[in-house]
Amino acid sequence: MKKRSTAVLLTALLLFIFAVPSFALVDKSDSFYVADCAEVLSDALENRIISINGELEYYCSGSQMVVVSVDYLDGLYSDEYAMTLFNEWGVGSREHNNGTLLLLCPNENKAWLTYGSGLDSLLSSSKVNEMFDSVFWGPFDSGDYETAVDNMVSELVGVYASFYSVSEEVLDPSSQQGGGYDYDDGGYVPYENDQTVYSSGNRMSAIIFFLIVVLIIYLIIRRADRLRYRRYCGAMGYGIRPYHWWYLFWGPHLHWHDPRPPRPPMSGGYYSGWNHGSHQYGSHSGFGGHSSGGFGGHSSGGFGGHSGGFSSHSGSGFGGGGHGGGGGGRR
Amino acid sequence: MSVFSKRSTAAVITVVLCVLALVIGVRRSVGRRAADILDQFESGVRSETAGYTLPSVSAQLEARSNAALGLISLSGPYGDLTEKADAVREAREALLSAGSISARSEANAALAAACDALIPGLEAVLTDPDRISALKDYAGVMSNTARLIETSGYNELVSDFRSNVLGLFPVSILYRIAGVAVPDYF
Repeated sequence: MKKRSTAVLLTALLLFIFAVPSFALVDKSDSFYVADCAEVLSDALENRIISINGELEYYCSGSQMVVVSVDYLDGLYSDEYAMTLFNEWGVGSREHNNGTLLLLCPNENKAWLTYGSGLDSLLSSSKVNEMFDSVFWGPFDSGDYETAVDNMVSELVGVYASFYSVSEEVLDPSSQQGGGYDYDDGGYVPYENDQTVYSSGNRMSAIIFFLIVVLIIYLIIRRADRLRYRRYCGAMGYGIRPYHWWYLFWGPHLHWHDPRPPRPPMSGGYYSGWNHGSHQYGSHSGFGGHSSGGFGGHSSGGFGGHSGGFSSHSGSGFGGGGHGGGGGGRR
Repeated sequence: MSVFSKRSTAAVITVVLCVLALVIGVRRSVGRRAADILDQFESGVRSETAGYTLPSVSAQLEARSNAALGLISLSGPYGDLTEKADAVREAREALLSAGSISARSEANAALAAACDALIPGLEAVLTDPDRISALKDYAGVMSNTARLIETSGYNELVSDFRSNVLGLFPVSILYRIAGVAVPDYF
């Protein structure tokens, strides 16, 4: 009798165990944004991610970037696991569906990034895989999960900054101070003299820019003066004489007045000429012909990039509730 | 060497060279056109009249694959839907691993059928507004992408290629000899 009851209990227990879904998702962490169940991330990086999320929610219409590390995927593909987490947790704004969830499973050598369909115009599987290849897999495969996640977070900050036309420094305040994470020291360490490097760099470029502008202005004035000098030599009957750079300041032609040619007739050819002293010079041009001299040209261009042309959303959608759209990574 | 001085030999050599040149020409020109069509499967068909590129079939398949994954994730807690979710999962796997266009077409049809079976089941059990909203979104993606695939212009491009390029003599014979890969219908 006793054996039978034990068998029944065991059977019931086994049934209960197998009745439970074969996989169990990790729970949300207290901070929501980072759930480091595999314990591969430092506190400093976790704080950085949390800090970035504060800015993201404020500046990027409730966007959220969640990082989850797990020991095992319980038999699921990483994409399905990540998508399920994304939907269970409601990552991102409900209205704009603009969340991202980075899942990594070091023990199974897998990682996946799921993003909401609100980011479809900027992210695609190929784009995500490109990001993984360029910044993530290198450190990840060598066991440096911290750097891998750090790099990917920076990439995602760039994506959000581009999407919402916000400066990356605004979204990632740590980058504003010009520092970095020293993982051995266990925290963010501002680079020494970093500000000086930036400011001297800015000053140098300003000086170079100024010099270039001055050089362009000098060349334009010099060209004008050279033409005037040639006209002066022609008017004086000196023929072609060399022009020296100091003529710009002490040239013989500086006090010479270039007479304006008479206005051309309304139609047909015109007579152009001028006189100086007893000399008279002139030239006829044929019908309709005229010479347009001068110089100048124009410089078009300027500086500035473009931000991709994405309109930023206004309004907020806090509270989460987005659902996964696409993704990429190693399944 | 005297063989080459015969008129008949010269004629044979000339004919062989002409055929070879034709085969090479067909392989180059028709092969390039076929490759261009395959590219347009990935990047979208260029509409010469409208002056823009239509949404690509490949991009729609990716969106469908993602939406199918979303549907699977929504069905997770509901044991009654496990079978249907497994069917979607299997079809999705087949779509992701399919190499040729015809295989992708078949896998896509299977995925559509599996999702069509799963969506009503989810509609019946979901109560959470967020999940219902997500379901609507995924179902919308499935139907929108199906419509975009229909209007992608890819099959028309293949049809035009087959009838107006491959159907004409001598290409109709030479393209097989030249080993031109003919684009499949989707």
